[in-house]
Amino acid sequence: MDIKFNHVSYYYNANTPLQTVGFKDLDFTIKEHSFTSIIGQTGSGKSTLIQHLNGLLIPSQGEINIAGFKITPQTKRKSLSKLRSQVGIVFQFPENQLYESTVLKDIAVGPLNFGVPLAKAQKQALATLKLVGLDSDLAQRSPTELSGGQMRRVAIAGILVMKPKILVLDEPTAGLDPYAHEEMMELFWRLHQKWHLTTIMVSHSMDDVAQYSDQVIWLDQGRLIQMASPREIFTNNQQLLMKPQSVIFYQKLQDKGLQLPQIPLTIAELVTELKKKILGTTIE
Amino acid sequence: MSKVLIGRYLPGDSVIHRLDPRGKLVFTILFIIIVFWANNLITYGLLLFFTFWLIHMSKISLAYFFAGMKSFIYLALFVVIIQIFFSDGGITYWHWGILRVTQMGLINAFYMFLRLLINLNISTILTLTTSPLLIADSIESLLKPLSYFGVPVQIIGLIISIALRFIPTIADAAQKIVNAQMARGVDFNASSLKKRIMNIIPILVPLLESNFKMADELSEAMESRGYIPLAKRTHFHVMHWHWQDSTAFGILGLLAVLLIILRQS
Repeated sequence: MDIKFNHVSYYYNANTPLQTVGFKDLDFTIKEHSFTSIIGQTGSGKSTLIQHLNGLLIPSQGEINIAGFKITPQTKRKSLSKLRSQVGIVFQFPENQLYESTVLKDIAVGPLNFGVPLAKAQKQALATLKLVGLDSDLAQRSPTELSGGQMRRVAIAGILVMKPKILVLDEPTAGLDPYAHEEMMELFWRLHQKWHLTTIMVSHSMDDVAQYSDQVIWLDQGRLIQMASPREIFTNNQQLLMKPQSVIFYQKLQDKGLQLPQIPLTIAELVTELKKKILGTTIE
Repeated sequence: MSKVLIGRYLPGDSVIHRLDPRGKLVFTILFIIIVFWANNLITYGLLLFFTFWLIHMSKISLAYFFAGMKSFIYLALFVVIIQIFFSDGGITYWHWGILRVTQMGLINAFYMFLRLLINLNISTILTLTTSPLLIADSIESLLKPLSYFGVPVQIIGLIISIALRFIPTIADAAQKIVNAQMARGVDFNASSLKKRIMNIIPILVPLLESNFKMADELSEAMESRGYIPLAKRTHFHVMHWHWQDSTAFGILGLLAVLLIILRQS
């Protein structure tokens, strides 16, 4: 099922003198099984938006359709607990949410809360531990003994173990070293394809956005500026300050008079296109 | 998130907002003391009216103010009900075992409710119109004489400022953890009390951990910027005493005189 936002607005501290806009009049559809990135500066409403995807926040106006649920301002938060087993949100720095005494217990928290029997939950937890690339020896260790990167994987496993249909990632690679960054993104990409997920990612890394997304939602100060494919977003958008490295490099080549058929979204694409162009002209 | 007003600061630009915070603090303390002089309808009425006048002067909407006080008014009512059942004097209207409703009990309970309401009003006006950091600064400045007796007033001030400064940060961190745990199906509205209590653990453990980390980082940041605890330093907010502040105390004096005249002797 597609995710539909129908003229949705959210205000913090609604109806008090401290009322501020979270976001205003968002209207868009996210196709099932697509990979969507949300970009925008701090304070643009990205984090507020994703908290609406599993009913942590209820819109002040408008209607959201997600995973068979209809959320309007009248919806009671209590009625949405089932929605949370279908929409898995990996929040920023998820390693801060670990609290159980062992890694295995912590991963099993979600299934247990949603009524899966203990033995089955632990079996699922162990399988998910391997899925995120951790050794099963770690299962009985305390999460606090692990390295930062390992802790993040455990926290992510704690979401994946619920087998969500929609996976929401809030800056999943923040604070990781380049190697771990790449591994993490590859893990999400693999799962996205294998599990036929609908993935929604908030990111400041334009390289990731360009490489993985089918579409990009660009927010600024709580408003939707543009929703389009990454190629459209990164072509000729002077307002957009951050761009993928391949696009920045290509723009410098353009200044020197080199033209490619379309902007390259990844370094690999840039290299292929350049090879074609240069070798193509020198070979004759 | 919630409408509770106690301890919240509402930035604004009214006469009350602009008063010297030290003056406001002392004013509030003295006011709470003179409330004890009131002992009849006129004197309680006068004080209650005075707090309404202050709310009006601070340009805060009365409806908003009382929406935020609602839960505390219920709490006050609870205290009042206890007071009704356990005090005696005058005509007895009803009794059952040790519980009784008497004339004096009812009157005392009513006055007690007014007294609680007046004190809640005045202290909420203080916190609504004064930024927490300025309150901390004024406490430090009022404690200054103690430094001659070797009390580390500066450090006490620093502790209060840090504590106040980190309330929103910690509230923020707590909200993030609550969100993350709710996303994993922790049900904070669970029906059983035992479950509700157990649900504190998924918040408390990560929160404590992050608080220790924050404290550690803060002390390292302060040290690396060369912070010396007892060094002589100036303040970012320099407080000035204006004629309005003296006027406020004039009004308080007037109020005290009126109370003495109007109270039942």
